[in-house]
Amino acid sequence: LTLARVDYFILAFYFVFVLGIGWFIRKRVATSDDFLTSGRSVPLWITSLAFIAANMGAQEVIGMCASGAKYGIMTAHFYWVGAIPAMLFVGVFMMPFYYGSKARSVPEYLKLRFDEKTRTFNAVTFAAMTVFSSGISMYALGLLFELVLGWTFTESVLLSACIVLAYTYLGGLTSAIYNEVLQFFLIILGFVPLAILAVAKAGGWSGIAARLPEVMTRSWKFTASANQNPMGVEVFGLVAGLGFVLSFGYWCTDFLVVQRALAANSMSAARRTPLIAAFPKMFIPFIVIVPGIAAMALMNMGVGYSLPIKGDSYNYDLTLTTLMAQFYPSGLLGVGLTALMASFMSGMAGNVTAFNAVWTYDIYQGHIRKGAPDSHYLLVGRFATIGGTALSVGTAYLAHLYNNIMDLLQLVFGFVNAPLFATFLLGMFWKRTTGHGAFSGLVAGTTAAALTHGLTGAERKGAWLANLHEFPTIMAQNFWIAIFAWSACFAVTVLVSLATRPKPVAELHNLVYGVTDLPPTRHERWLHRPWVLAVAVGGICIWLNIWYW
Amino acid sequence: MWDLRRPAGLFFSGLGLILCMVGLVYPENRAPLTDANVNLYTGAGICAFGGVMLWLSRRPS
Repeated sequence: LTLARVDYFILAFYFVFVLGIGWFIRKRVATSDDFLTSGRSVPLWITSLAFIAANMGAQEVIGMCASGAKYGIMTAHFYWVGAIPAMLFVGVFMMPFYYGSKARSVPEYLKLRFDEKTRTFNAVTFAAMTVFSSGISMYALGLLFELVLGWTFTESVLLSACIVLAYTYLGGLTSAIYNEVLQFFLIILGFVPLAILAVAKAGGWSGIAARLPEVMTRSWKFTASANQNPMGVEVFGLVAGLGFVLSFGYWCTDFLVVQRALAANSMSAARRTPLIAAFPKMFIPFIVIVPGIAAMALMNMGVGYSLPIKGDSYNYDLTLTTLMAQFYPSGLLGVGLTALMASFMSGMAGNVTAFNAVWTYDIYQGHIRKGAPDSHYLLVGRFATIGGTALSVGTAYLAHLYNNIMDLLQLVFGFVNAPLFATFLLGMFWKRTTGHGAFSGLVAGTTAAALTHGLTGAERKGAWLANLHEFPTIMAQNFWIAIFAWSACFAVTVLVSLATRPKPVAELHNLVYGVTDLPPTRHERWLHRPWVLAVAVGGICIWLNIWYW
Repeated sequence: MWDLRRPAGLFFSGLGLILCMVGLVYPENRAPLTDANVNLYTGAGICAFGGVMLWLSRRPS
């Protein structure tokens, strides 16, 4: 990529705005709640866009475009099967308990519902996950700076860390959320022209379909058997592994996204946050996946576009940047690169703000110093921001050393989020679930994930105990690890709960379905009712699945 | 809360104007696979989006 002065000017223009938002918001941060939870005062449209923007990190933009080129429209299952149903579920069923319990974090909900050990287990694993995720976004951003500015990797990582640290340190969660919204618009406006130009050049969707094997343009038709499609998954693994366990585990229990909804200014707004976010979310495949598919069609057209080779296959990770180099002239190239950097910063800031809340509330206040003045926790939250960013720099170097860390991260999600969803499902909807049951279920689920990984192999990974089964792809292996982890956690939680004493029902108010008065929605306009929004989103999502069947 | 629509509107209007100016001053500036003045068209679109945000910021949040 060769940048002109106008491209650098656009990058600088964006960074000044990002830092400016943190600078203006700093005056409004007076308490730890302002810094870590935004004081539950953010408008609905902002929390909704932040809800999806926090998830639009490096993996989303570059990874989905690469997967589009590699697997075709089947990649859209990560949205239409692997996100939308879970987003509807968390908005309609789970948010009343998250918001109504007044928990400031997901681990804190686990403490209210179960006990301290369950909360601590989740807080520690989640904090480790956020540091990993943030580090990977920082690594990707560092590589981009290195490529564009010609700086060394160290200088690039430190620059990206300093920018994110500056605005999250100054304005806390509010600053991160406001910047995520700005970044969301920038990502959309920066990549929509690329999607239009690439698809038009490839002859529209019909031109793409004519130039590629049918499996690349059909989402369900080739899922009856794992060896029929390049993703290597069959319909059960897809629906149960991705559509149920991994997806619900992420969208319903990951504090990174739930935190955005908890910042909303009312219960009604918190419930509608994931529902409204689902509307743009289901159309994002057209911006990040379809250009990847178009890239493969362009390669077959002989127009001068090709992907670099890496080893014995294409380097799919370069799909997005090579498309930008071919379709964006100076000026628009600056906007596209700024959008790319925005997505990395969005992923980093989202994880850093989730980390500092969990560290301050669930680890520091829970175990190290209780009952200190609020100003003390505000200071701890700010220091946690610095500490989280510094740890992320460390994991960025880890990613630099090991080029398979993205696979490792997906694996960690299967280890942590999949069993956690079973814990939440039982905890929120079965009042008989006990703290001992939840804790042993989480331990059993994580152990089952490790055993599945150790006893199965895929693409020369896993099978460190014995190779009892070989999966066609790492993705298929990750889906099945999640299924086993969830099932083990679910079964052990039920068994141990039946053998131990549950909490009195009086202590479960606002925490468990059936002993909580759900917020009435009759007084709301019909368009604002969660069920109406969920049915509308669900209908469009089903239609998209049928259209690309 | 601070109204994000105004700064977002200003940012995108500014960004759109920069692209429009590039498109007008260098109309022959092309990427290898494009044959239209994409800077001008995209700049106009981004500018319009910024304008809508600024217009919306006149209404209460």
